[in-house]
Amino acid sequence: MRPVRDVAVVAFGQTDHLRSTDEISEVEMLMPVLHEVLAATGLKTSDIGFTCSGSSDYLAGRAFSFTMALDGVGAWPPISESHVEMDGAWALYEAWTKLQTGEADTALVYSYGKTSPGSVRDVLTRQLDPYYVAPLWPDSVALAALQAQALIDAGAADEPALAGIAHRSRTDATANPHARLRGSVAQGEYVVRPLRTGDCPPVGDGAAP
Amino acid sequence: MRVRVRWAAERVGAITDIACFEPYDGTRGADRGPQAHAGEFDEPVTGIVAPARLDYTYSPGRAQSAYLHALTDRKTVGERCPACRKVYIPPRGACPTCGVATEERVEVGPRGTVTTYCIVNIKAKNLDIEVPYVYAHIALDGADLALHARIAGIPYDEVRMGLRVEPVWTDGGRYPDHYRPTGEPDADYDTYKELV
Ligand SMILES: [Zn+2]
Repeated sequence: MRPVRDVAVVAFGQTDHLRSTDEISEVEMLMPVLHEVLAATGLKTSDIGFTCSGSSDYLAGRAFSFTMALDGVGAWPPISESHVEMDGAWALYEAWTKLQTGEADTALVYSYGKTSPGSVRDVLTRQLDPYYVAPLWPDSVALAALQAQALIDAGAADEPALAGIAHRSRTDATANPHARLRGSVAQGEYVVRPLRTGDCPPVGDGAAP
Repeated sequence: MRVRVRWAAERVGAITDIACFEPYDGTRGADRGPQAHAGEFDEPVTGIVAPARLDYTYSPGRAQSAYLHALTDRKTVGERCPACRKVYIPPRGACPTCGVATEERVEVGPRGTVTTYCIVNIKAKNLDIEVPYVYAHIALDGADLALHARIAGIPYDEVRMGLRVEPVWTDGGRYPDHYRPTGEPDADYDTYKELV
């Protein structure tokens, strides 16, 4: 089915993705690229129909940490704004939906994350179902490994095929000076079977509007 | 492969009661297989406790680090918005109204004005302060945002809006222990009405 309206991305910005950014706060990390994107469009915050952000408060370990990042947007006079406790892709989807409904004609979407304050594999377990899953502390790599193994068991992929996906992504990353890992990386040892170091994404801090 | 639950040595009514699954060589017939269940239990679980601990290394960032460093010299340093000129204290690096970075550092206080307050009648756990006491919003001189702190050195029922106060530091304190009256005449309402 064809979407009701065509939607175009007219500006994009990205911080360097670093292992640690402990000299700056979340809003200090986000604000420069946010302003870069606004400047590229020639729009002010008050001109934007809908603003949507994606981030995880668990990473910062404090409730409503996303409201601090909103300080960098300039929410006065009041703006139409939403946040998803999710990644940037989900925030983009919410904004896209809003544009489809005709409630807004322009949207600003941003996402950010500072994983460096905590142990991200432990931290992300707290987002899981609190009754049956979170008490078992299955970390993000283990959950990905379960899915990968299910694919392998179903005959849909094998370890070399999975490694090929990571290799392709890292090759693409050579064109992105902000990426944390670029070019080929050794497959390394198993982190959680069947996933090896080379299959797993780097852990880092960064923002993208 | 047939498996069965191996239960934890101690069971508390949580998912962790299932220690693991282990091979089971009994036949399906022996345990009669799945049985219909009415969904009603004699002792329903109404809550669980799932202990969790995560350790974080908190980084306050550029603006708040500068604020904390200044506090060690008993100075209160905020940041001014280049667009609306407001001085934020404590600074968080951005003006939430204008959405721009604040960079110009501005020392405020040490004296200030009580803009609003409340009388606390409930003793807080681990806090060695007799009730009732007063907690107030204090607009430090030169700041465009009020801080909150305890007021002492005056009977609780004499604290009022407009009262002029100054910080009281204790040895080794990393922030003022409380504020006390300066003895100055009360501030005019017009001087702090935007900060109430
Ligand atoms: Zn401002």
